[in-house]
Amino acid sequence: MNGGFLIAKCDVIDVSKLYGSGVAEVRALDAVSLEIDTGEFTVISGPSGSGKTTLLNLIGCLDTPTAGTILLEDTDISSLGERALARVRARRIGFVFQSFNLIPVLSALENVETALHLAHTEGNRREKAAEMLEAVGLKDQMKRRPTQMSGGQQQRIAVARALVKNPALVIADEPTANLDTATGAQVLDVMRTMNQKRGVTFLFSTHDPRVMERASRIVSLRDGRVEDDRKVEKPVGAANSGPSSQE
Amino acid sequence: MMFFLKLSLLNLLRRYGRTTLSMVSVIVGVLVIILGRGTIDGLRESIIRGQIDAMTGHVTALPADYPTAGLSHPLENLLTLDDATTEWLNTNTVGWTQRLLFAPRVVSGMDAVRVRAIGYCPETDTRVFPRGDWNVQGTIPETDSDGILLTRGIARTLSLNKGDSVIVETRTHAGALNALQVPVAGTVSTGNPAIDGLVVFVPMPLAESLVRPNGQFSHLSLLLNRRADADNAAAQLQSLLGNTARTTTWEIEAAPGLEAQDIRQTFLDIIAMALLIMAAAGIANTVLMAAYERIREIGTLRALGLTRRGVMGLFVTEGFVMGLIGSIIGAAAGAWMTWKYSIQGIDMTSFVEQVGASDMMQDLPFSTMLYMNFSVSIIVIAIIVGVTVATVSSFYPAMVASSRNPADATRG
Ligand SMILES: Nc1ncnc2c1ncn2[C@@H]1O[C@H](COP(=O)(O)OP(=O)(O)O)[C@@H](O)[C@H]1O
Ligand SMILES: [Mg+2]
Repeated sequence: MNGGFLIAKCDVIDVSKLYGSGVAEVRALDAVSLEIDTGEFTVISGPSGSGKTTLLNLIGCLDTPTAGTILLEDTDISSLGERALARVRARRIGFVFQSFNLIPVLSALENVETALHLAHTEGNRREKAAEMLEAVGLKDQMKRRPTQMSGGQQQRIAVARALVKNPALVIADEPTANLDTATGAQVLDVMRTMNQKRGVTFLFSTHDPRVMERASRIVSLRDGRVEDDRKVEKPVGAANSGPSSQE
Repeated sequence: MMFFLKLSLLNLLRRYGRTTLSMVSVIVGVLVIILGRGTIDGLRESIIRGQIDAMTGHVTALPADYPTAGLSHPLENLLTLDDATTEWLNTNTVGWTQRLLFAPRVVSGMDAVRVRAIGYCPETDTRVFPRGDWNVQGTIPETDSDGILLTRGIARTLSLNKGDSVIVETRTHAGALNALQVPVAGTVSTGNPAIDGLVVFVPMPLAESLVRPNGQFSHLSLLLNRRADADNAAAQLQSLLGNTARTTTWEIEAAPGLEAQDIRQTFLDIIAMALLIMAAAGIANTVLMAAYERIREIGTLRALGLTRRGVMGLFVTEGFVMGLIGSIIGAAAGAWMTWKYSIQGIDMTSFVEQVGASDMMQDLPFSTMLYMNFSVSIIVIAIIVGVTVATVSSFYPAMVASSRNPADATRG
């Protein structure tokens, strides 16, 4: 869990997740195994209710599996306590949510800064946050509150918030589901650029074909099981460089 | 740290009305503590001042068998001073004086009233009993022929004015009946309901002619540098006077009146406590509602790496801030009011007259001007109580907020 911050190897071994009990029991994930490597731009696809969010929550240390093991850089996350998990989330993992989940009382800049505060990063947090907002094309919107901004702008703030702390892994749960085609593509391009420029590992869930087009790997879920897992040879927007190239 | 204080503040402003309502309950609670304490402590001080300034000084000696209350003023056994006692009084007190209390009938034409007469030494009385608050019409009599000074209530009852004359009937020291026709030198309002309407002042030379005590007296009162030394001085005086006399202090004499204040105090404390419980409920409710409204935000912050303890801190801070702002506003208002009324006082005359309090307060010397007590320590305590109540009452809702699963951010 230490060392270089861009190493994001994640092993999901035989993981099951059950919700509820008795007749109300739901098997959201059923013995899922998956290996994610540094620099990948992986998409988890599948119909609604297939277990995408559940899987991402487990990998993102937001929830714990009912059975099986999740190794983040060879550390079993079930061995970590609440505070240690919070630390992993704060420093190593960035989240982008379907409904943006920005803090409405904070400006765009403060929202991004929040991630730095919680990660306890050093240096000028305000400056770093401003640079990141500039990188996602929101240079002139920094002082505005999210509620005054469009969905595309809000999701770009969320992307900036996820990336500003240089996480090893960014988890994005249906990030384009609440955006129209053009803005969705814009947000995806921002993320694809970050993936290629910085080597940040991305893990998406979606059933949006535009997202799948850009993926380097597509994992299909159905009823909580992995149905298909394939690498994509030449994803859209991958330019001429390979998915793991770094500048 | 500052960042999260700011986040708490912004979240509070978000529900401005609800926040204000919770703060108002804190303001009222803190205000009641300060005003209640200020009033009671003011009353207490006023009772003590009335006792000292009009009745006992710091220490009073009186005949051993003298009754403790009422209009009964026996004249059989009176006190005298020996040289040793006089010497002690001159070296150990700031001032001392003798008084002769008796209970004559004052007769004017067909009307007559039984009153308490205070025979006082014209030269030394003010060394113990100040007359700063006295409002005199006419003159204060000093000699045998000057006559008597009536408190205003008695003058009114008998329809007397200065210059009129009355007959004063009394028993003498030897037990005979005596009556003299004397002029009314003036009328006085002392501002003390235990005196006004109940007492006539008689200069000692005239008291001598009426009661014939042969230089003896019923009360010896003295003032010390510090009123806290009264017990000690009373003990010394007691040993000098022997068992024909008993000594008492302002503290003993004021005790029954102060006890009544303790009851009032408890009553006001209960009211303040009830208000603070309401404030606590208001704050707890406000924070709890915030916790439920912001489930997704809490989840988001947890996903960004905020610990459970951090979430608790965020919500407890909201309670703390409401408590702090409310307490400061309440304390500022309370401080201003107690300070103002500690200087200018509240005139209770009409209140005292309305409830006929002078009957109630016969043995409760108490100025009709109520001066509140301005106390920095009460203000500080009230702020601490207000902040503590608000902070503690936000603990449970904060715990509810912090026990949410971080995965809540991704759903609903
Ligand atoms: N907190 C929960 N309690 C009970 N059932 C849940 C909960 N979360 C998800 N589920 C169920 O688990 C299954 C997988 O859900 P989810 O992971 O959200 O799928 P997806 O994100 O692919 O739509 C669904 O059947 C859903 O109803
Ligand atoms: Mg989902």
